[in-house]
Amino acid sequence: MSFRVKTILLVVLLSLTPYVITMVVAGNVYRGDAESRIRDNLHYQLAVMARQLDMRIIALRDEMNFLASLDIMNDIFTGDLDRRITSLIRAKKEDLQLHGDIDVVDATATIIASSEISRVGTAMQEPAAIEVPIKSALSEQPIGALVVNYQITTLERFLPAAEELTYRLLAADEIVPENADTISVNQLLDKRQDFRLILSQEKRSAFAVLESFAQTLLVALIIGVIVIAVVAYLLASYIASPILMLSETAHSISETQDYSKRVDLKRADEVGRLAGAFNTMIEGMQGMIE
Amino acid sequence: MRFVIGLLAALSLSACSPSLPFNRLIVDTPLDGWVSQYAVVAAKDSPLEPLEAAAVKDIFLRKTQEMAGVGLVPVNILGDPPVRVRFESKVLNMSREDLNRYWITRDFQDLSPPSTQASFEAVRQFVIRVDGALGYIPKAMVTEELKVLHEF
Repeated sequence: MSFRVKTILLVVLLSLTPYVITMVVAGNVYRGDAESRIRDNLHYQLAVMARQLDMRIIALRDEMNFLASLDIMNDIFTGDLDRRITSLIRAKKEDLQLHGDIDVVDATATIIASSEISRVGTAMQEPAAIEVPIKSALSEQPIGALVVNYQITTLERFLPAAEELTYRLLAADEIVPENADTISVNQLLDKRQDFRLILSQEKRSAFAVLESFAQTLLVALIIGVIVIAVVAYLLASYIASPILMLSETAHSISETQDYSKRVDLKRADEVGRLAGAFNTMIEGMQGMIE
Repeated sequence: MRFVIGLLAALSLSACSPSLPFNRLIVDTPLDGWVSQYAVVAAKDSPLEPLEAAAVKDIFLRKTQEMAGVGLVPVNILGDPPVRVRFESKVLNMSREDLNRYWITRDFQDLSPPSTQASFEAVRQFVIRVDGALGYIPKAMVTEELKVLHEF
């Protein structure tokens, strides 16, 4: 391997070493920090969405409290003979787009009105998602209860559909699926502890800015390598060319025995002094021979 | 003869005031009311005794809220069927407009109109099951579980 190639490789290597070390260390640190920040941000957005769903649940309970306060609930005494309570809760279920059932039970916990008519006459299922006592001016004790059981799909329609962020609702005891390609956070709903809200973001999307930055750095690295290689070539040439010149002149004199040849190098540095000493030495040898 | 006069009076009034409900005209005719068809009833074991129209009126206007140690729970039939119009006309002796004005003023005293049931059978069931309840149903629906307090 020639001196020039060695010099180029050495210079490129020396120039790139601190750059590579810095980028690897800083990149890893920054990536770890970025993941932590992304996770914190997801936790925040998850908490906001969970709060919104809790507010929906509170609003649903308020609706049920309002229904329970209506005078029409006195029809519990007649076993909802005229189906007025049934009509009311069926209309309310449709209005709320509730995926589940609203039941009205009497004091013996028997369903006397339901949005699902086949449930009338059966016993109340426990536990209920929402249970609101029905009070009446006609009785000191609650005359019954308004019971709501609704499925996850009732709340799912309130989840925003974003390309990068994916919200999901699962039953609390359901195993949250792990995925190496995503960052996921989850929490139980405060007002429905049996529902778990999950927020996921694809790592590719989460680290898109970082990846873009890394690509920019790679391009800068390639350009840097080219520039450094050119500079190293020029440097190697600057150092190697007078040595080559000396070497070629010495080689030529030894082959031709022509001691009149000189090295034509006008430099004031150490190499210039070496060339001058070489010329002086050849001149001395020429004088001795002549 | 009275039937013909009453019918002619009803038809002429209907022609002059087409906005009045037809059932109101029927109730207001002298022919209607000769024979009581409806009864104000309470549960058989209720301590309430037969009442005069004025006493029934006070109960349905919530002026009397307790009687014989029992909190009274009057119940109306829902909407504007002939029986209700008849009850308001014959027993309460008030028009619907009078009643509306009455309940608007009572609303400030936190008094609300009697609750309603949508059918006679529901009224009957309600009266049987709720202590102190009283409502009006056709006399033909009065069973041994009920006590007649007033007829109209």
